[in-house]
Amino acid sequence: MTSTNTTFLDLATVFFLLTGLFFMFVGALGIVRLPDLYHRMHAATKSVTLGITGLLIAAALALSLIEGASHTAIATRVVLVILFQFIANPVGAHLLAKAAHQTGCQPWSGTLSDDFDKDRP
Amino acid sequence: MNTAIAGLTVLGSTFTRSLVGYAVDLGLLVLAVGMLLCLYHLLKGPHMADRALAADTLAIHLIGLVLLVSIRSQVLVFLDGILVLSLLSFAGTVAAAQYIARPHAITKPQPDSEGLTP
Repeated sequence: MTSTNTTFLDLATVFFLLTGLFFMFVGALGIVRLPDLYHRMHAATKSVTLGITGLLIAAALALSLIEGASHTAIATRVVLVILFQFIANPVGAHLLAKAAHQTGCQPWSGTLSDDFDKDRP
Repeated sequence: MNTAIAGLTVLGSTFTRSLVGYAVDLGLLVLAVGMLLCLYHLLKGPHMADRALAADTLAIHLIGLVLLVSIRSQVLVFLDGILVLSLLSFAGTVAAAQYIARPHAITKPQPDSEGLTP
């Protein structure tokens, strides 16, 4: 970061950073604003996963500009975290939704049908 | 520039006056507001799964915050911490979901389990 002129890499970093921040903020806002747990899970899982992916790509681009930084080490960690987030967030939300439905968490009053409830023994 | 490389005293270095520096500062603000929203829902949420979901989102916001601090202070070691944080938040979510589904499985032995209870 010694030079003050803006390069293409800086622009790409800012683009991914702002995209990721937008989706992170939409996820956090959806957690507060949406009416019931299942809607909130929809906001928290999908948009936050996309947002953290953008932030990770931006961090990989920005950190690779450090002098003497190993690009392989940065890319390995970033790709690992992205893959793990893409696996872990849906699995965690699925487990939470199933546990909440088992213990009788009521859906929103405007919900049209609950097929999982009908299939319950 | 020495302050930016040292990674501790970053205020007032030339990094904050670049384009990426402004974006990172904005990002710190946005993520802090998002963490406050998650914290509010963590305290308020009616069902226990609401709180677990808010805690999971809070942990992901924390990952983003550590990433931005890593960009700002130019320290690469934080990436390992991010890996550990994401693993721990997933483990916490799974444990919370197990606890919500069967709250007595941890404290009390199950009556229908075979061979374990006398």
